Amino acid sequence: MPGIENIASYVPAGRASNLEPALLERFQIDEKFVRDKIGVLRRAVKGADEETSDLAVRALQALLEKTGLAADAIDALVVVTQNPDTNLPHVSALVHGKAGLAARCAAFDLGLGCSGYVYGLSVLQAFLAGNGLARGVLVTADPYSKIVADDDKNTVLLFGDAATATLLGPVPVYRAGPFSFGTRGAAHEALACREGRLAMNGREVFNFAATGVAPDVLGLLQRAGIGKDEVDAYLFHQGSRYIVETIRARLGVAQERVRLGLQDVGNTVSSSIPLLLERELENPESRILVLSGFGVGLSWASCLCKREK
Amino acid sequence: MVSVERLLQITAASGLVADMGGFDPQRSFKDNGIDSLDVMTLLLGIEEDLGLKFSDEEVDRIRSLADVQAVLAARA
Repeated sequence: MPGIENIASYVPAGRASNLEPALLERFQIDEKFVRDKIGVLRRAVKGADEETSDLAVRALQALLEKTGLAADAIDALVVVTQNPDTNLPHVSALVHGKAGLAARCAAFDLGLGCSGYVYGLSVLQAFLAGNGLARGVLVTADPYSKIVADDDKNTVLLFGDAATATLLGPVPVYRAGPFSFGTRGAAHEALACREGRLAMNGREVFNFAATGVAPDVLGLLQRAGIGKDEVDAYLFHQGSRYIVETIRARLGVAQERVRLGLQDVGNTVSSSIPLLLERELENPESRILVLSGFGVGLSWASCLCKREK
Repeated sequence: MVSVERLLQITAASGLVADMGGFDPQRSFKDNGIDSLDVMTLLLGIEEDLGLKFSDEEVDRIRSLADVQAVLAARA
């Protein structure tokens, strides 16, 4: 089974500050609340002329430069997004064309939000293995700046734009699995795009994450025969600092085992976990990881990653 | 009907209030030093402890622990 060989990312240079006095006044919050609870000081914002596929191509190109891999060595490309350039064609086809990938390279999208990276790992590694393919790239690119309204306190302080590209291949640093998945489709209205604007029922999404993620992770660990303190690092979707801390407390693990990485970029949806994982690749002490994404759907997915080298 | 004392016990167990001696169930959560995110944690704790779910309409009426008691009393 192929595993994770490398990860590269593209975070747009543009930033929007959550500490602007006018913004704090408008939403009746203070700097301490932004720092300690939301945890996002600055949100990454793509350029007005940058499309979803442009972010994806930048991440893919960064991966090719980082690994020295030729574009025609990629057998499959999967793009996780719910904010495509247009309804059709699929973003992966646009990326395929812009990056000059081989005609024999499979390309398809996964329409998932914050659980999409973990789903994508499972789908792409199975797709490669099942079809005798050597290498695939999993791209996440879901720029929420397209759909977040500037006057929506529930969302505007949270989301940032970014894209990542993960190379799955035969000589992995991390092998992913086992996985667990779940959906509360009856609660889908809690996080949805209506008439082009994101709408979030913060309490319902919070309750979902607070009550659902820790039991899912504990079940996954039990199935794998691994104790929660044997895990070197937990990489939860970076919904907000508050939700990450809530899940950590409910899971009952030490703070130093739980990664935070949203301060300077925001909640980058399906990119938040691979942005964290990109750092762990450089940390040989991180041998056993838990990845857990949760959000739109409402959907969740978790997996273990074990270091191979 | 759930008592204020029971709601105060749940509040204390949540760890969200440093000094329960100064906590006034009649005052708003905000005036008791509980911000909007901690209110979500507290309401979830009450839901889990009492085995119930607040509707969005009920939550809209809740500003204090006394409001929680009133909302639950209105169900009876």
